[in-house]
Amino acid sequence: MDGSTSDQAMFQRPRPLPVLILADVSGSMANDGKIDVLNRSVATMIRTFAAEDSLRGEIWAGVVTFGGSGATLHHPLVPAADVRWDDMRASGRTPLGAAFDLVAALLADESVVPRRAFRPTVVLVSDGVPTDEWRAALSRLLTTDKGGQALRLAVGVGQDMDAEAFDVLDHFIANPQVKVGRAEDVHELPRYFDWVTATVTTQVRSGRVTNDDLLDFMN
Amino acid sequence: MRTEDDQAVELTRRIGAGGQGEVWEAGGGRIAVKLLHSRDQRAAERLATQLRTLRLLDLGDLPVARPLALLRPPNLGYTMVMLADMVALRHLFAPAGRTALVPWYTETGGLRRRLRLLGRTASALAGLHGRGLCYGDPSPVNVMVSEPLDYEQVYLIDVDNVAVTSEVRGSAYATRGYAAPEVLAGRLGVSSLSDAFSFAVMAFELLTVVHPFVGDKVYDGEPELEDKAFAGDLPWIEHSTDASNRSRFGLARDVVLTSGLRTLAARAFEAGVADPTARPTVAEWRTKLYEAADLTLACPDCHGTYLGSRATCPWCGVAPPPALFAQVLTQVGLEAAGKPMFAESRQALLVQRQVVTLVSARTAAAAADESEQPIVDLWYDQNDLLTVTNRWDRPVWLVGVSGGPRMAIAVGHDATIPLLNRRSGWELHFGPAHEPHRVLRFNRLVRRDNR
Ligand SMILES: [Zn+2]
Repeated sequence: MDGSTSDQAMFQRPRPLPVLILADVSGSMANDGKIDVLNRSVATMIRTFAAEDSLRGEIWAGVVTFGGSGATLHHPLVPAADVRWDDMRASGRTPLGAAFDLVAALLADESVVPRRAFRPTVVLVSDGVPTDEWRAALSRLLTTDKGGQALRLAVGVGQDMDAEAFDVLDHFIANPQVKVGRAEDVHELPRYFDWVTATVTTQVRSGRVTNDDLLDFMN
Repeated sequence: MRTEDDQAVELTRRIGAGGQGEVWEAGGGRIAVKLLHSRDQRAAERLATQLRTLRLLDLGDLPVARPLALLRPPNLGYTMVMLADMVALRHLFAPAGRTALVPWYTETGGLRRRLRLLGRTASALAGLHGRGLCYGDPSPVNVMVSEPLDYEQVYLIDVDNVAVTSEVRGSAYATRGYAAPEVLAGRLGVSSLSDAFSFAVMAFELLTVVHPFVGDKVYDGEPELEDKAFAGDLPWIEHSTDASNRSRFGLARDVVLTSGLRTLAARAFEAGVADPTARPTVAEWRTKLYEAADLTLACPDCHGTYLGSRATCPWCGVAPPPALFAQVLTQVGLEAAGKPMFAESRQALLVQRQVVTLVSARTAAAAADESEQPIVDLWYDQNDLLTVTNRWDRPVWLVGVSGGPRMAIAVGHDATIPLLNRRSGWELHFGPAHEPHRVLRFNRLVRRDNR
């Protein structure tokens, strides 16, 4: 062969492990500094994800917020190292159903979550009962391929979480082996995110994204 | 955190992380700490037993991290001896960010350094195998290598997977992508044969920058397909007859692998997938890796290194630098008439002009001694003179081919061979005429024209 043979030589990128944060930014999240703690916790988690250096897997992070009058893609799903974090702001209602529909659409879109990606993780953070029709939207999400396979985690924040609000989170998780996180005092929220961080990094390091390993880890 | 014998341990830098746990640098780089994820009683007992056994083993001077102490609960892990300025081999497998492949490959030491580091890794594993041990989990995060590019030390950490024999099926820890199929499936425990598979994957991937089982359909496909590939259920990317899993990624295989290395890879990844005994041993890899490294040239233009058999630098297209070709022979004895008898070999080395070429014991000593002990330096200058400097503890001899002059180079001295041209060859003898010894025969220049 003549000349340089390798001008076009390419790397294989590590397989993405998508993590979507589904964050409640309703007006009540502004109380007791909840939104500030959530911003710090998510930003810290994404920084930790960015520092992960695994050959076979790369953590991608994205944020969907629900508040105001609907759901918004606050940050698109990209490699964690490429995330430029912008704080979320709290206002308006709790349109969780709209958020479920947005997540379902994102997960189903192969230009967002490539076919080669590992099973996604979706983390729901909320401080109260949804204000829209969320049940139908949730069952739509759970019947999509990726939505159904996803590791779904959820945490309730603050004093306003009642039984009904926790019930919503339980329905979202839809897995008796995964418990809803509880951060009645907002300062417990970072610990929950530390746990999520460890769960995700353990998955990406081992390349084993199965429930068995997850349960091992939860013990 | 503290050790069982109550030494304080301060973690300073995370060196690596795998599915089993994390390895941290501590105590200013002289100590490393393995922290296991698992904290259950069973894992703790297993680790304690393992470390007790390891302390009883004679590991000689193998570059293997000796365990020091267990950590005190609630932490589960242990401290081990560490060398300074080491990074995980993983850093040479792929860059963390987006960058062009070839410049990155060169900046991280290029082909020659990769061949030598792999040679030393294979040598360390062969040392364990020679003692009836296996390493258990060779992977890019368990092999530490010198961080400075001009050093080539290798050091195996994570010794808690070292095993005497494979006792319990399925109990072994398996790193996805490197574990042998029979270990991954839990059919067999770890062995020197499973080490050989893991090593083969690492060697191929480090050199070509593509995993031998991650073809395009695996790369683009769902993770479950990759699981199948790692289990050995799909053909490897260069399969001799089944082209269904080829890869568009990585460096051209014939640019970074000699035919000898390609043959070893084919044995490991075709017959060796289902039949562990068909795999080349790590000692075979060591030989072929070092032989390939000895035949590399450094491009004066782009500073990349490449196999000297190429007509031009594969990285930038520039013509190769002048170099001497030295055949490696073994003088096995003398004929009745006093004429030396040689055993031919296919081994050789290239002596590039104005680059110091170090000849070590693995080339100069015919024995199985593979050590990196320097024996002579060779310096081929711009006037076509070759200077030999003796760094050994005994003399070496320069001999003109076919009964020419003979001169000894004493310990610590050097000698320059004049008139090094195509008509008169010279030999460098690493032993006296009446004893079997290795010989370097300088008999031709590597020229620009295509051969
Ligand atoms: Zn070049």
